[in-house]
Amino acid sequence: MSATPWICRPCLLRALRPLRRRQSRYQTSFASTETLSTALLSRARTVAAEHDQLTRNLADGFDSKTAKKLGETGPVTTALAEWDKATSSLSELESLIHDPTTDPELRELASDDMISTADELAVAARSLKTSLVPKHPFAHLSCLLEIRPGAGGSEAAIFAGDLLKMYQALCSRVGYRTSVLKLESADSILGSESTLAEAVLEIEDPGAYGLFRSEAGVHRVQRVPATESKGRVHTSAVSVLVLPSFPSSGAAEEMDLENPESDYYVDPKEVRTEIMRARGAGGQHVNTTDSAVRLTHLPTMTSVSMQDYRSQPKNREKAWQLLRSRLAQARREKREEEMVQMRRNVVGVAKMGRGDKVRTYNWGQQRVTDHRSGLTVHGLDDVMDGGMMLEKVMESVRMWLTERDVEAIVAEEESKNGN
Amino acid sequence: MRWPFRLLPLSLPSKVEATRLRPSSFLPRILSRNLQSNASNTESEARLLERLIEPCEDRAAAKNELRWLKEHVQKTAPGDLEAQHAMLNSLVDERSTGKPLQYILGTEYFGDLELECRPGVLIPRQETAASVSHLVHLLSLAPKLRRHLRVLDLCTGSGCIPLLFQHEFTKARPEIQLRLLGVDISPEAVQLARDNRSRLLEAAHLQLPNCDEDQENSDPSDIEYNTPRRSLEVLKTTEFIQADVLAEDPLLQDPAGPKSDIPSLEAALRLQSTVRLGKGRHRTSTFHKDRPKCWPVLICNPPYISPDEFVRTTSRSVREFEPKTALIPPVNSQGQHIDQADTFYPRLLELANTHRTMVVLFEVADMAQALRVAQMAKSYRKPWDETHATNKTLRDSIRSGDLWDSIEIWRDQPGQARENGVPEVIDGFQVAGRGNGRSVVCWKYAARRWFGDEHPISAQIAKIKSQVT
Ligand SMILES: C[S@@+](CC[C@H](N)C(=O)[O-])C[C@H]1O[C@@H](n2cnc3c(N)ncnc32)[C@H](O)[C@@H]1O
Repeated sequence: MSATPWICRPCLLRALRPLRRRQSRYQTSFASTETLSTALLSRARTVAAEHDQLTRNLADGFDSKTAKKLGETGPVTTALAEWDKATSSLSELESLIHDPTTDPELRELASDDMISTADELAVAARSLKTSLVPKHPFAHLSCLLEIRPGAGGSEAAIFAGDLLKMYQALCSRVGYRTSVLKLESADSILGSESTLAEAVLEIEDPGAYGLFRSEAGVHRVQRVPATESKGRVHTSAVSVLVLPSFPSSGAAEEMDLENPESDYYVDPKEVRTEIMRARGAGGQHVNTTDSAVRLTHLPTMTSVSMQDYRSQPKNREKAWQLLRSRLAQARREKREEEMVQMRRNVVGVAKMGRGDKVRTYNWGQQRVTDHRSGLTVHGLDDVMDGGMMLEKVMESVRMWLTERDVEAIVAEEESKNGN
Repeated sequence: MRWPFRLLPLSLPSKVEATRLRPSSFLPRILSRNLQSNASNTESEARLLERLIEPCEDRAAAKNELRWLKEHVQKTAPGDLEAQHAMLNSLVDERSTGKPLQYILGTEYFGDLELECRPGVLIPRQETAASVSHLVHLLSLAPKLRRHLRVLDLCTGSGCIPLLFQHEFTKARPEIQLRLLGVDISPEAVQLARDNRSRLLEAAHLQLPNCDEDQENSDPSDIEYNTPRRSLEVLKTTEFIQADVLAEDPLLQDPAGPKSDIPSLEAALRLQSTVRLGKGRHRTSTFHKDRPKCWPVLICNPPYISPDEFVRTTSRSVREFEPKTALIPPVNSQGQHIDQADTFYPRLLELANTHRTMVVLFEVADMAQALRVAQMAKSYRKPWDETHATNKTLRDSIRSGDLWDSIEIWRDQPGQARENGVPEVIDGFQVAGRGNGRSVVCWKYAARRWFGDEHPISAQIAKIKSQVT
């Protein structure tokens, strides 16, 4: 991508040198974040103009719809103002440097200042981009992480357990409330609870979906399994699903769960409930603690079973929650697919599906590589302990996701303007 | 030239971006929370699991129980890992003898109520909860229920049935005042039922919005009822008393016959209503006044296992740890032609008749017993009684020819439609739901009017349901 046209090249190069050094600390692969295309800029100006108009409308009388729209356009307007400010600062500095009457000392100071201003401009550009990206419809929700071993037998089951612990440690360190909705251990030779057949971790804080969305996909591990006698390195895989969670009635209302017209409505008549009672007579003859419930959504044959709670109604409630999340996610994915189809001829918007390999954890090299952001970190232990390194990797993916969204917007804007 | 000072903003323009740039805060923190992680000793855990498999009968169940035991231990001795470890070990020891988990933990869930449980009193069963919930659900659909509904639960055990009835019915119909009475022969059961009631009463107090407390003594007819307020009121009047359901009314008994310390149901009801009047605390006197003989809803989960079946079909933890008097009925004194497992049912039908009952729900062991009990209900003929000739209920029953207008058999999950959608009928009785035959439900003709008109109840319910959705 070409450099921004309003800074002269040598200055820019000078200005960028330290910036680049700073950037490399994060090892992110998107220097392109720092520039804005004309398409994005024109989109931002349109939104800001709309914002002004809305503000004037609102002065005439309050209505909640306008207010809501105003809330959406506000961040773009603010970010644009910041960007404009930084741009004009930069051009002022530039003319100062180019002015032959400027005394040398001042010129030197000005070119030093250029660095921080360019930095500032980059930040403004990035926040402007982020503000233009429409919020994911589930971003404000809490979420469910479903972790399941894939290829690789018991080693995959052990790694699935490791991932569960990793996310639990992360959440506990940063103070997110989690609960294990479901935990099924695999029957391995060890018979221990650290091998997983399936786990569902609920991260209850609102907004968790937006933060953990980056984790969906296939996580690959390369190491010598504890069970391997010949010391060979195995490659196994674990799949992680990130589902939106609709537990509270507040979220239910907002997402229109009770409305048959809504995308997230589940018709109870289409769901079969099975109580998986232990064999035999039942009633007074047995006093089993079995309280398992299985739900099957008949149109899609999506099936959920829950047995973790002692109370059967609680198992039913949690099973409904999980079923709802899975169906909502599936419907959302279908929509996204349709959107990708619509934009097919423009930039390839990468869809992160459940089948895609997203990250590799390599024990031999003590590294973790995310295949989307391209980021590699070397503190494997820190990642597995849910430490800062993990957050860094997750952050790089969120940035990457934003980039993809920005690309989509640019493409859309450009096709709208007829190029 | 002036120095352009305003060109030097060193702070970052946007807060969001600032946090993004600083590597110390990738995820927003919620630091006020202190979350503890569970360290677990997986190797000894595997051994504990092995010991649980036998009493639990399968691995999945054993895993669940181990987790629940662990949670219990963590709650009981928070922070003290050593104590937790020792306690878990001894609880697993206890469980491996076959002692039911519910007695070890001291609680069981009945519907979504967590109730206390003690050795000496039967552990409530999920199937019972399912039947009661379904009956409550049907009744709550009835648009023309009276403002008062009296529910008698015989053989109440832990009190689970009236307590769940209250919990679910009040949620659906807070405008209706329930009056619940539970009866059991065992003093331990009566005590436990009362304790469970107190426990729920406490919870109901906490639920009640503060300002509501002031209204407590005002005239109930002035108040618009909400669920917490009604729950509180109903629980306050809910009672559990000791009586022998099988004993004859002493007024009808031969005075020279054998006497027992435990009163008959009729005697206990009469006594209870006088005590209540004597106190005179309740203003709704017409409702609470002496009405020992009017119980429109009668529920009973009586002992229903014959001694023979007890040995053959009950699980070990039932046989060795639950009270036999809760499971095995005494030999029937009336006649040899009645199966010992069925001892309670003829007596229950008689009580339903004398207490002007509109609907009964009796739990049974299986489809065979369900059919026997349904047959008893069908052939039940009211003993002729002059004093009742003007009674409306009687006229209703005469109109339909039998005492009961409809007799149904419910399976374990009575609300679930059959796979093929075709209604099931066995020996002329309608059968509802899926699973084992679990209860017999009989409706009087007069109950039809609860649902709006003179059409059969099942038809009316179907109509109401189709209107709801
Ligand atoms: C099967 S348990 C049912 C307990 C409770 N209703 C439930 O569903 O969990 C039967 C109960 O009937 C009581 N019982 C046995 N014989 C009785 C009698 N003659 N009169 C009253 N109660 C009796 C027992 O004490 C026991 O609590």
